[in-house]
Amino acid sequence: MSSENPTILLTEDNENDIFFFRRALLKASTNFPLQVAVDGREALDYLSGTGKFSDRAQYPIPSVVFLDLKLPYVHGLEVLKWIREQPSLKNLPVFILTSSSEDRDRQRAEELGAKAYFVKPPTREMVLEAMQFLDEPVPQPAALP
Amino acid sequence: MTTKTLATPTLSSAQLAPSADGHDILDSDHLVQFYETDTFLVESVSKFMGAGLGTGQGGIVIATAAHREALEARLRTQGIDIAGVKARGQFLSLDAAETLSKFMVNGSPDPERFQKVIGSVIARMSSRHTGLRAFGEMVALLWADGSGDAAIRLEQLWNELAEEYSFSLFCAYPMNGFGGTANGEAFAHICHEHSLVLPAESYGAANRTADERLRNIACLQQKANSLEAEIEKRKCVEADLRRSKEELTTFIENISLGLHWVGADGVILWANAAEYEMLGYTREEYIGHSITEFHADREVIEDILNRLNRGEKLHNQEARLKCKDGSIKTVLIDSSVLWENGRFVHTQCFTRDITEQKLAEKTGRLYAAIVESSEDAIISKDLNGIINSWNAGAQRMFGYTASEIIGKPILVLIPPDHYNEEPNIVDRIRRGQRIEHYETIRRRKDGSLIEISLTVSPVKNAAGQIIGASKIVRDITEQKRNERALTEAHLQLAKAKDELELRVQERTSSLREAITQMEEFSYSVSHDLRAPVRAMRCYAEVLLEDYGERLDDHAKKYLDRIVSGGTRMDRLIEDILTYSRLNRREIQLQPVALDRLVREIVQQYPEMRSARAEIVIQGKLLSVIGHEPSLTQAISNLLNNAVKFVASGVTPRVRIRTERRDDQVRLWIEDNGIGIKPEYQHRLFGMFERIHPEKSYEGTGIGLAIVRKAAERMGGKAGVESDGLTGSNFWIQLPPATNP
Repeated sequence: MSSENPTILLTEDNENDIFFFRRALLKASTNFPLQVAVDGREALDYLSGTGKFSDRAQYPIPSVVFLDLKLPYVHGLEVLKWIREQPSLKNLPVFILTSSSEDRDRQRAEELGAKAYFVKPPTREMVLEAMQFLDEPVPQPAALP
Repeated sequence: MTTKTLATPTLSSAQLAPSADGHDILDSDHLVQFYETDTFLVESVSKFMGAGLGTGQGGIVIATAAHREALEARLRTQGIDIAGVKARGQFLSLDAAETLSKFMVNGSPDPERFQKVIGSVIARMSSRHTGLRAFGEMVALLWADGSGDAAIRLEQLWNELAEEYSFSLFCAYPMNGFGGTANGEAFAHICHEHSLVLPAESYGAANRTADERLRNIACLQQKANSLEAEIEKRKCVEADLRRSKEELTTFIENISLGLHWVGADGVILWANAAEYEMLGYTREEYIGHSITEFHADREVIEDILNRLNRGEKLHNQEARLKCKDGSIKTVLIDSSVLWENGRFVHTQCFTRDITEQKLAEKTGRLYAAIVESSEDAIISKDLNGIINSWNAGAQRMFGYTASEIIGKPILVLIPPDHYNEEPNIVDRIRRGQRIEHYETIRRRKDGSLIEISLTVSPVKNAAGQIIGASKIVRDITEQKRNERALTEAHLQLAKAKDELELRVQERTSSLREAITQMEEFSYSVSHDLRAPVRAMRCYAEVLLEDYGERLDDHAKKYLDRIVSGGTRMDRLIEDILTYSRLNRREIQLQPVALDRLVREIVQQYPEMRSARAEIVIQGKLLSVIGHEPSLTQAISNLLNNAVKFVASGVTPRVRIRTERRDDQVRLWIEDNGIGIKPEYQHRLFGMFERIHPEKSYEGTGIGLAIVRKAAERMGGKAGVESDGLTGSNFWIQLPPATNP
């Protein structure tokens, strides 16, 4: 996914985890803009550009998605499945970031084409690993619009 | 030879036949005189010899002592001076037997010796006298001895001698020596050797006229004829008699009735085959032995013999006889004694074997006793359905006594709605069939009904004809009641089973629901419960990272404690989840290359790196059948423990190897750690069990529980060997892969 300002979409309902993810990004010296969807439905809206996310200038298509599994309204795996069904999104790298270490979750995620499966808390290493999947070299931090 | 005129001057009553006339005998005559009485012979010889001696002729007598004595006495009455003629050598008297013995060789007269013994005497006598008369009885002796051929040979020797010397010879044979038709030929032969034959005295008076003689001959011919006819008849009668005797003998020998005769001394004189064969003896083993030997009861045979001696006749006397094979036969004896002029000749005994009859009687009594004592009712009836026997069991079962019911129809016992069974039963019995365990209803005397099982068999007479039926009736009222109770119990049981199954299904479904809830719960736990713990820990870390410089050492130490508490809590939750996951997750068993797996795990964990620990994998590890994720979990836990529980300052050394054990493969993980004392080992694999204090060694107390649970879920087991001093040897054992 090429973009001048690759956006990261984090789907996470837990405020603490959002906080720790931001810290991890910071530690990884990644200044990519971070968008957050707080439940599964918002994630779908964001990705399809509907509702409050219809403005793509404000809410661009992300270059990478971090997806929690246990989400209100729509489960993370449902979101992943939906992404895989969208022709325009099928190459979008998705990373699972969850507190579940269940085999069945790992297995399902792998089947649905998740790039990696991370168990919380988010760390700098996770972010760096995810960045490797971006087409372009990691850009230098830039001022947010 | 010319016919002689036979004349006797005086006739005694004995002289009824013609005899040699002393004066008519020629020198060369060889005459034979047959006689019936010695008196007649002596008379005849004395005339012949007296006439010769009286005229100065020589005389030789070769006869038996009795005849010589009688002859000399008779000659004296004729005025012959015996002593004188003997002294002058005119008369010679020799013993016939003694003389005969001088020339007989091997039962036949020897010609040379005859010449020497007789020829010399004849030669001497005939040379001294004009005319010689000789009387000889040696041929008669030979004849009487049965040596007919020798007698004829001797006659021939005399004839040969007569050709040489001139003398007349008088032979005499007793007529009774020629009885029987078989002697006819020999008689003719003897007559042929003589020139003159004189008949015995019964021929009649000597001075008959020719006419009288002819008549007499005719009479004799008639007599001979009738005698021949008589002989023929006798032969027939004899043959008949012989045949009858043979038939009788055969009959007696082959009769199935035993017969024997016993003498007064108790010895068996005769017995037929039926008798000794009945007891298994041969003829020789029986006849000639004492009858007492064959009786099993000594007092019985003694009593029998005593009574017979007293003249009693025995009838159906029972006795027991010993067979050759040692068995005993029971017999009935009929016996009486044949007396002759008051003398005990022998017994006449008839013996009948009644052993089988006795046995049959005994068996019959036994059967009767069995029938009578049977719990079952045993009833017999004829083909018209009339009862003709009724045992005690029948009385007990139906209430009728035998005298009440015998002669009554069997229908008395059958309730009206079962009447149609009887014709069917009778029909089958008539065809010789049996009816077995036919279950039906019968009626007692008091009208109550009983459930019975009926077995009916045809009864046959001696000729094999079916004449009735025997019924064995068993009261199955109780049995039926039990059966019904059993059926009811079965039904109840089936119902209970259904209910139980339903309940099990309900329980299962609620259990399944509970499991689902449990899964949901643990899923929630893994998310929701861990989140706040993680938040606490992470914020504490944030505080340390971002504000550490502004905090004093106490504050930092407290934050450290929060971090480690949070970490530990998270680990605890993670382990519990792992353990519960092991319980509920479906595992598929398949071959696992242990060698590869262990090497991967060792590579993966930083604690196993060679700098921190010394891990040795001994040889190529054997493959097992297992579930790789569970196995990975278990092995990881064991390896973690192996490197963790070492005394401080000691480099962990771990040896990993496999071996065959109890048809399984055992994976050993042997460390040089602090070990576990045997008394604690049994607690080791329990949930939340910790042997070592928390502050010394980090752990949740769930790791080994997970190991054991994983091993068990894969069909194996896990354990430890340690002396508590020199490290621990943990093991997991699993079924081997077919291709290790």
